[in-house]
Amino acid sequence: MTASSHHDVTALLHAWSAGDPGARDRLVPVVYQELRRRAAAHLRRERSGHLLQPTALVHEVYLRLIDQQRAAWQDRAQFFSVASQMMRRILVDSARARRTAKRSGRWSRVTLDQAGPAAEGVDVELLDLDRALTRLGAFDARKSQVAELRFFAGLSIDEATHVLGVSRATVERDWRAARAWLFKELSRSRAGDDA
Amino acid sequence: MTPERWRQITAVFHATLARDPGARAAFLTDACAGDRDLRVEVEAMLDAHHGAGSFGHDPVAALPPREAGPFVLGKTLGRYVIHAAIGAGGMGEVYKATDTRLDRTVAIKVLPEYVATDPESKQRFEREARTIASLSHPHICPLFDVGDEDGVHFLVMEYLEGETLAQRLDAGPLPLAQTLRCASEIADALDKAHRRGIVHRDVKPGNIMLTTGGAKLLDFGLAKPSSAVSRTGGEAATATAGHAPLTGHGHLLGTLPYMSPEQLQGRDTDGRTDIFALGAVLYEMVTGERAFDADSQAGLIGAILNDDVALPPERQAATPPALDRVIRRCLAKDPDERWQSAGDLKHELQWIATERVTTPAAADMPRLVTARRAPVWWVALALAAGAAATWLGVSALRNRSPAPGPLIRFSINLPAGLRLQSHTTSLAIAVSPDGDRMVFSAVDENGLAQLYVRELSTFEIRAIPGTEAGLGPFFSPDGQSVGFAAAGALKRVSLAGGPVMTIADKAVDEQFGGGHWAADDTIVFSPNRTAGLAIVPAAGGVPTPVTAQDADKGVTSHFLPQRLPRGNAILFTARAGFNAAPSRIEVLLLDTGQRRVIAESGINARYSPTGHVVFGGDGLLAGSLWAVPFDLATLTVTGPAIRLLDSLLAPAGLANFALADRAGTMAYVPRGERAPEELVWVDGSAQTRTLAETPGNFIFPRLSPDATRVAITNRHGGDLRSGIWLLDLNRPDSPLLFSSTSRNDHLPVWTPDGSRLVFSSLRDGDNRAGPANLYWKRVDATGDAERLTQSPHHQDPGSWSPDGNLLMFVDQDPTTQLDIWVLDVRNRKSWPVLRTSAKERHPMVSPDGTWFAYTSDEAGRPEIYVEAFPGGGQKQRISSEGGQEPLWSRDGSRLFYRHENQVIAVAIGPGPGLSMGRSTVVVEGPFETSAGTGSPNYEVSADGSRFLMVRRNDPSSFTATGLHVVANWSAELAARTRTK
Repeated sequence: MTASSHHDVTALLHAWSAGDPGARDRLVPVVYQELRRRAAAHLRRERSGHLLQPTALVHEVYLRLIDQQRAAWQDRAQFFSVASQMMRRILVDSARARRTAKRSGRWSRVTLDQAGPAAEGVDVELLDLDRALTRLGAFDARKSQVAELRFFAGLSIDEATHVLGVSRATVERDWRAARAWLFKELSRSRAGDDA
Repeated sequence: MTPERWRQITAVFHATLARDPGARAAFLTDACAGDRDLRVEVEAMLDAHHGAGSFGHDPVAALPPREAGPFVLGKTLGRYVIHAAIGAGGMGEVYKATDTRLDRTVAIKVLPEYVATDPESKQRFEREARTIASLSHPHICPLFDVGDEDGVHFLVMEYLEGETLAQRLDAGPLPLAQTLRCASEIADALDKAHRRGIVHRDVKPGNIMLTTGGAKLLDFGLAKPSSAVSRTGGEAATATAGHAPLTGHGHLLGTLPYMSPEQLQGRDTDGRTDIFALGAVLYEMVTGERAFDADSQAGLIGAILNDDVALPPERQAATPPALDRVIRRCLAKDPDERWQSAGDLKHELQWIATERVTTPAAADMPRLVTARRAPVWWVALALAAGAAATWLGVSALRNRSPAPGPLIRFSINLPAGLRLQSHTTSLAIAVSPDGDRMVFSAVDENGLAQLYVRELSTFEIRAIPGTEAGLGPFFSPDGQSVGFAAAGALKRVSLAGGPVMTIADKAVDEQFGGGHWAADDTIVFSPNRTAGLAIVPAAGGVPTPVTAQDADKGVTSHFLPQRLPRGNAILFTARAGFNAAPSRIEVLLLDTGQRRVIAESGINARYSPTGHVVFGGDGLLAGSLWAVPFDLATLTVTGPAIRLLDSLLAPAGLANFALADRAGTMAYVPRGERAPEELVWVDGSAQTRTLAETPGNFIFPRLSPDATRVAITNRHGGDLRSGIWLLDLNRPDSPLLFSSTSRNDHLPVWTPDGSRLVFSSLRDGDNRAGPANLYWKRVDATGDAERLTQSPHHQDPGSWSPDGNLLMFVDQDPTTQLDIWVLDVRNRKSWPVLRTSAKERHPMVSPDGTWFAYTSDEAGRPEIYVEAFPGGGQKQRISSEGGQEPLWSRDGSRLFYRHENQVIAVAIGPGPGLSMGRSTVVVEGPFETSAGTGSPNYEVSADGSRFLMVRRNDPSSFTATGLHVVANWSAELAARTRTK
């Protein structure tokens, strides 16, 4: 995977911070592919009781793709804003695929036979969370992004502050509200399912 | 929902939360003013806020796994009726429930399946549960019952009202009195448990509840996976989870920021592990920040293993010195250096609490901490790698049963001018089968590689004639000859002298992946990066491929082979690409062609005669060394992996170690200490001179007006945290820390009179509010940093007007991207100069204050422009093919800028108008350009003849000048394994 060598990705991030408008477009597929490839590898190896840890994955990919010595925090921020979006997409796609496969009775496929009940439980939560995030994004994009950064890249408030370029206090308030709202929505959908 | 309605809801939500709990209902009634729907929405949000437990504290993987069947609300588990989920963590779900027999509310924790399914785990769990249930302590959450219904294992605990310390810490540090009370309560709880032989192993803010009855420790020693969860086959690289936090995938389980070094290293834990964790919690209560923090797991592990923690200077002033000492002692790397009992710790904390009341506050402590601490930090960094290497020996001698043979460690330093060759597919070192000699591939000052040998019975290191450009050396079974790759051929040479023999010509390339010379006088080797392994007679011949490249599986190379002493099999590493998937360790059965995976993630595996496979960690674990018991008869892994070392040099992940085939000798290349970046002076003749070889990542050098010092930002290994250092040009190797590393100070710019540095920082005395704004501070360190701007945007300083009144800086407004502003320091007013949708950066005022140069991408790519200072006039484009980072010569006669790897000088004519002369290239080379926005990432000397550049060392070229050798290594390995 020569296209994703340290230098290229770090250079793309530099170019992006330096204002090259095409840099992000070139960066996204590289990050997406690398994340997806590694996520697939992890999912294949999953056993019940062990969950995929997207944060670890995102950081792992960061370590692999980004030249640590050359990356400035702006690069890092931009990387995580892209990577959290991509991670969310990958997890959601994978959860949907599993669901579909299960419904269509192809449960014994190789990609599925190791998905125990725990993994299934997470799929459901994930899809709920994804939908709730999308709904939140429709009327408050930034809060939705804060939550995305927390959930899918595991960023701290401070780190999210860097990514979003707003004050820490704002991110804290965003997160508090987003978290409460999401939890409310998820509890509601859970109660609805159980009924 | 409309955005307007949502704004209304969140406004009332935040405002309500800001009130005291008792006043909230009344406030809500007022605020909603009869809008019933609004009230319903806000109340639902408030309920969710209070009921969300740990939701969102961990990223998605830790979302409660929903096992819809058994856990629907209203479900009964024996005599317990479940009402509501109250939270979830990695170790199970927690529900609020009613005990129908005793009619009381309880909390029920459902345990993960693996605890229930493994008989040994289950037994251990029940044994521990009984012990814990017998622990009655005011600060331990009582365990009422342990249940098992329909295969569901659960714990019944007291239902506590309150918030966790983690939730409380979200609002910032705790007051000192509360900190001391809470910590001594927890220490008391731990003391009681430790006396009963119970270690918590997961003390963290999320496991401490703050209730009206004081602090309560939760999750006591339970639900930890037992040491019996080892696996076999493909997942054999699994560390024993009871000791180490690693799962089979190299993922970290548990709560990393509070783990002790011994937990991370998979060594035995005892009560002192909890004391370490409590120290980290204590630190966090005092500062509101984690004791160990990094932007990656690898970084965090590194910090826990290496970084000394001390309270930030401004906290120290407000904290009793004794508390600082208490924390440091808790956080000592070596358990023997810590408080030896939680009881002692408790008494110390209580003593501080009473002492505080009777002595004046410590606020008047000398504020020399910055200067005084600097050298300590410095030395600590420099020693970190070395220290890591010695732990093993120290701990082995202290904690393990005595090894049968004496453990001997020593270093071999290469003669001056030589360094070990860097290679990412083969090893630079080889140990003879009997461990009596070493061969290594080294490079001399002229860049010429050759093989060298050191007989351990002598002090001499000698070059082996005829081995020029030799790569990847390996010994013959009798230890008398060495095989290697050179000039596209696989060759051999006798150490006793004699000509170099070619074994196979045109058989390998520069990506030679190592070889192994087996007892049957054949050599298995990896010809290059894309082919499979091949075998050739050591006497010479045509290589026979034994594995094919399996590109369909994404694996592109098989390398570092070793013929196992029995079973006609080859141990090797299969690697997918070079910056991609983790490598794995496999065994190839030569008779059948069958392949088996030994470890899913690992690199450079060697069979040790003790019955182990030793291999390097890959990916996040690069640089660590592991051993796993291996049965030669069945060619299978028979136990969990044990982590041995953490300090190997691993270019491109390749762990540089070698084992003797028959003896217990091991050699490895310790991780270097040299900075990946260095500051160099470059003059017109392209000569470079290193100014400072320093640990850390030094960027953005700024020369003082009197040209005696350089202020510079240390990025601290890619960490978000950075600090500002001062280098005295006469003594560049003893830099001085100017500002604390924990406050994110960076990008210093000198005031024209040289008395102060203005810089960008996240520091803010009260609430740590980001983003980075501008501050200044006196260079003589008298007085504190003073904030110059208050902005919701990141800001980086650029340059000053010559009179020192106006500062140009870059403001990162998300709507207009990067803009150039001016700050008048006399009245602290600032205004935008260039605020367009383009990105304007690097505002550099000319020495006479007439012009300012800057970088803008308005023409589609970064170019250099000059305008009259302080703005408002016509601009003139200076560069034509792209440029950034403008910089004026001190006499104003030249304007420099960077274009690709060049520094270009443009002559500027004298007189009122801006007249440009010729452009010349003054520097060319692989120097760092600016990733920042304020000032350029290079500097010009006062006379304009030299440039201070940041040179990036090629990360693949390590400069290891020595190796560590461990004799009787295998005896120790066996001892370590037995005690597991």
